[in-house]
Amino acid sequence: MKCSIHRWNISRALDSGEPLGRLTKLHLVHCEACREFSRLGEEMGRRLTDDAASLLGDTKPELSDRVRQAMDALGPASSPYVSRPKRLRLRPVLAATAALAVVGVSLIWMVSSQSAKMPQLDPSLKLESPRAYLESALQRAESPYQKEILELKKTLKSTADYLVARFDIGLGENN
Amino acid sequence: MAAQSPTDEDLAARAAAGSRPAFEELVSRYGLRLFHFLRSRSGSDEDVEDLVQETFLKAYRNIGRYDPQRRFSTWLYTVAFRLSVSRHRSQGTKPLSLDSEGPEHPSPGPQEVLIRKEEAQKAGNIWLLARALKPSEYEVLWLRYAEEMPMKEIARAMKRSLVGVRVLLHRSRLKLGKKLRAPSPAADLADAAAVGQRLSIL
Repeated sequence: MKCSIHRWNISRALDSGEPLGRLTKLHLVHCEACREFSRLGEEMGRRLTDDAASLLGDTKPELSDRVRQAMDALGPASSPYVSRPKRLRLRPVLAATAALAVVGVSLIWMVSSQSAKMPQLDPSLKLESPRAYLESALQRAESPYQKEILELKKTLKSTADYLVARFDIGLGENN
Repeated sequence: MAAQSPTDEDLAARAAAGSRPAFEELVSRYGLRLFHFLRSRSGSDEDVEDLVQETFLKAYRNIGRYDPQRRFSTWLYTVAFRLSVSRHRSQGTKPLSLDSEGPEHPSPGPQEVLIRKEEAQKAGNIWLLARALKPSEYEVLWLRYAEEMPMKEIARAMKRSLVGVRVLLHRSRLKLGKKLRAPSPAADLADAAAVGQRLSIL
């Protein structure tokens, strides 16, 4: 387990070109197998590079000819690279945002148009004086109560009449 | 003073502008490299050549999409890798391996496998031995050591994360190291034959 961690570190160092960590260096002093792994890793890298170069030293002209012939059949290449304008893709979030914006704008418009339609006071209906206006307003405001009071008075009076008739109460006559 | 040869990126830009000779120069430069890169996923040389041709045709058709700010080799290897993987998936072919053969290819006997392994070791080219690895392991080694591609470019070409590429490289080296250290099977066979002979003498 310990060795596998250090081997991973060795491998990383081989790829990144950075020096090994202190702990791994310390481990290498004591571990022969990991030293061998490190040595083999470096040697393998060199061999892989050198042997690839020797493989690529060969020629394969028939391969290029074959591709050229296929290109003849294909016709001209595509047009040069130009940065194309990105297509507008309607994503759900964008669509929802746009819908919300539309609803908001229409609400604002509706409210403003409603306030524009509010009835204006006719200037000819201007009151003569504020006091008179307030008094009449007070009367108008009290009128329902006045009606109620009158109704109650009537009811009380009729009740009293009824009681007098029923029990024949003499109000001072018999006394 | 000799004129400097144009870079791959220059050639690709010229090819994108309609220069066919520029693209043909790229074919000459990369033909063999792609051939070796694509070997691990294909059975025969002919299949590999087909795949190389297909890669170049696709690149030629889409050269207009190549961004000259990026490395041409990464772009081309990306095209090759994706084509190779998709063909491998659609056909369900097994990669050629020195250890085992896919059902499409005539299966060699154990003796033939031993001889081929022995040839690979005798030839001394480590890539012949590397072909026994998994295709992705072979490919990552090729990009790292034959192309000397930076890790980020490898990750882009192979559509993997940077950590994924590091792990793959580590695993590939471990496996290849084991194969390098393993005693030659043909030598084992020879030893066994010698022991058999001695026994028969006795």
